[in-house]
Amino acid sequence: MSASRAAHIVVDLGFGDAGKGTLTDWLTRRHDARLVVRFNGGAQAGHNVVTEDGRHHTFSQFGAGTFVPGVWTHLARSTVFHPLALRVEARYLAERGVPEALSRVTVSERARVITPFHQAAGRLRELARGDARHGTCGVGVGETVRDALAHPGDTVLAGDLRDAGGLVRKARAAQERLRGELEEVLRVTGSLPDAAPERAMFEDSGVSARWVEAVGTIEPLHRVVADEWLGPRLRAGTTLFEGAQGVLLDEWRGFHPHTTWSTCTFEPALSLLREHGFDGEVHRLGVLRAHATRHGEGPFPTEDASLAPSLPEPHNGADGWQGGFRVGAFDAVLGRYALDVSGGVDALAVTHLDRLSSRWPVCDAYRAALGHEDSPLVREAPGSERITALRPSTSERDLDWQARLTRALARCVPERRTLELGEDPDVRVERFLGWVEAALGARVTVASRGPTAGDKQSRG
Amino acid sequence: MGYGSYSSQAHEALIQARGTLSRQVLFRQERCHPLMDPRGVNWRESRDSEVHPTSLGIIFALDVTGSMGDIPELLARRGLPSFMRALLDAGVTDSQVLFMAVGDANSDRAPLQVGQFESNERQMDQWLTSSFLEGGGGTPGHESYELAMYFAARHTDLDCFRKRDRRGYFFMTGDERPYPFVSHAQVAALMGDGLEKDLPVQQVVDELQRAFEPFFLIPDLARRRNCERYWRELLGDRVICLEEPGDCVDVTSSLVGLCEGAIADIDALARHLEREGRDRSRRGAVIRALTPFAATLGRDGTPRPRLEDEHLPIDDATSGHQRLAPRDGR
Repeated sequence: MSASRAAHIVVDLGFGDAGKGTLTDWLTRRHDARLVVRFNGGAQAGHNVVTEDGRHHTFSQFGAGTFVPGVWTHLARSTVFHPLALRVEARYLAERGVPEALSRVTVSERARVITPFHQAAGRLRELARGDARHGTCGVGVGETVRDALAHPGDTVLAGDLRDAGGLVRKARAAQERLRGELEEVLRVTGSLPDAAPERAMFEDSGVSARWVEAVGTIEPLHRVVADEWLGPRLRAGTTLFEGAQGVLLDEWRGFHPHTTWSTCTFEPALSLLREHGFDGEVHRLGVLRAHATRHGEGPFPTEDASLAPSLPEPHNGADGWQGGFRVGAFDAVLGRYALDVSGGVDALAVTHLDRLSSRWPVCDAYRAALGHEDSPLVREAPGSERITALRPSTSERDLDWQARLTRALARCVPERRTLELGEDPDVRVERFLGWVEAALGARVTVASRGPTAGDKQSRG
Repeated sequence: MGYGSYSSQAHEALIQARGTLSRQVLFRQERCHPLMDPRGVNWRESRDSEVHPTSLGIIFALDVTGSMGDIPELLARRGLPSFMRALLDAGVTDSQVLFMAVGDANSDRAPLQVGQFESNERQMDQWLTSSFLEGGGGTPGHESYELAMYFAARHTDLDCFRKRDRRGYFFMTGDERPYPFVSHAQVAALMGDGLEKDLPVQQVVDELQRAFEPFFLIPDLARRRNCERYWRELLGDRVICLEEPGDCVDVTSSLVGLCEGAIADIDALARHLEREGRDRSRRGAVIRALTPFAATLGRDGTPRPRLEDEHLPIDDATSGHQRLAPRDGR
């Protein structure tokens, strides 16, 4: 137990996949944290951690500190909870030598719950979109959030998991409600083989009871806690707040419609800390890769498929629901936008520095002809074609503005620069990080050259 | 971000009634099911009936401690129907199956649970899934297997044996050793039997073999080390080492088929498994597990040359070795 109380918030400043998992693992070990709080997103997260002895796990709902003995995970109110995926993940962890992981998880009673029907509905909608995919993970997070906004009284919350009878009723109601809403989608997807298992969820009246029975195996009475539970835990020592996805996918700040249904900035974590009257130190850490990546559909100005062969991606395949893994040059314009909308950071962590080569492509500005819908683009000078920043919307929640940003980005062509980093790997890292600090106006305090905790170095 | 694989697996089971419901859900008992409590059971009977005129009693005594719980689970999910079908295919028409769940009398709440002999899958399945998977286990290296053998030896009555002198089958799965003695205190507490003193496990095995063909199945090669030698001392060739627990059904049904003569030999078994659609590696694993025992039945498919009894040579008689081909030109 560390005497000082502190909270470290780890947030991805890109489109996700920057390496929050390995940083969370490293920070947990380094600061002897006892608790990892997940505060956004849910079961669609995939945070890879590789231990020093070579065990690899993709953390989805378990906090990425779970490999460290005695470290707990709390899924906060703002997360979306998938009870059966948690159970599947616990089985995987058991195979990786962490048999008791499930007993170290708590979930807020107010977290929304993904039912089999929400997962199936999300997948069916994506299938019905055909080529106009949004890039869902197929987990049901979006569908659950959407449904909870539309039918707040009927939402399944983690607290409901404690009462099997009531839970069956709520699940059945969700099955009926979603089947009604999906009439058109079910018609369109009728002939698609991929849709068959998802459609079956709505055709079988026994699913709810079986689901509730299966949910009983995660022992909801031990897992589900009231929100007050968190306060004393935060005061007891160091806590890691592990963000999911990335600021550029944020529901209100990302590039609509290619966003996620959750707030990916520091805000949900900060508001939890405020709520519990936390008086310790708070460290906001923004994470970026040495290059840019994007999983699935959506804008990606610096995308450059020719970089892929030199940027191997061991844990992010192109399989599943999201579509391919895309790579491109480091994008300082998007980096500045992410810092802007997330209210700044105390420090940056840059990962994948082992990938740096002597001539490293980066992007510090875009070019775009003058045109209509220019308002979201910040030009270097009036009339200049050079775009140095994106303008955040003035209100917190303006999807129309975010859609305009998406369209404006489509007109932008990145100005490619190549940094001459030299031959010595250590010099390369320092030169590149110096450039990043200047381009983004923030300090880089963690440099990561690989997947394990030993590959991380803290920096001045 | 972007990971859907756990969620994909999470709901697969819900649309097939029991594909991957968890063990706790499948085996819902929180304690020994009252009907499976061996206390005061005089006899578990396997009887002939009009429908099943030639009954054959089969006992599955399943170790349910710790990781051994996989086997009941495999049986419950897929195994039973295919076990019964395999027996029917092998010409064993009237089998009756009884399930026992074996734990550790020194630490579990329900060290022995006993079902009834049943002829149809549905009822068997009920007994199987009523057994409470305690998952505990006790003294490292030991489980109360001797209690299961004792119960089968002294508390079952089989028509196949009584009327037709055919022995039933006793299959026990496990990865540990039995205790060396059946404790009279445990037997009194669990079954209400009054024994004068502890019984050596060897004696229990002898009694069991009167009415049953006993087999002990070790679920995978890794777990042989713990217990194989000990069980071989008790049961000899009737210790069967599987290569993975999933082969349990194929191996047990093939054992019945081989012993009953419904499957002529290992080669016939290989063809049978191929017809059943087992892939090459599974067929190999089942056959490797069964070959040593099949050899004792003379059913391992090796040619058996006719041997003439020759007396060993004495004094300066020829050794008995003869050249097979005459030399050229002589």
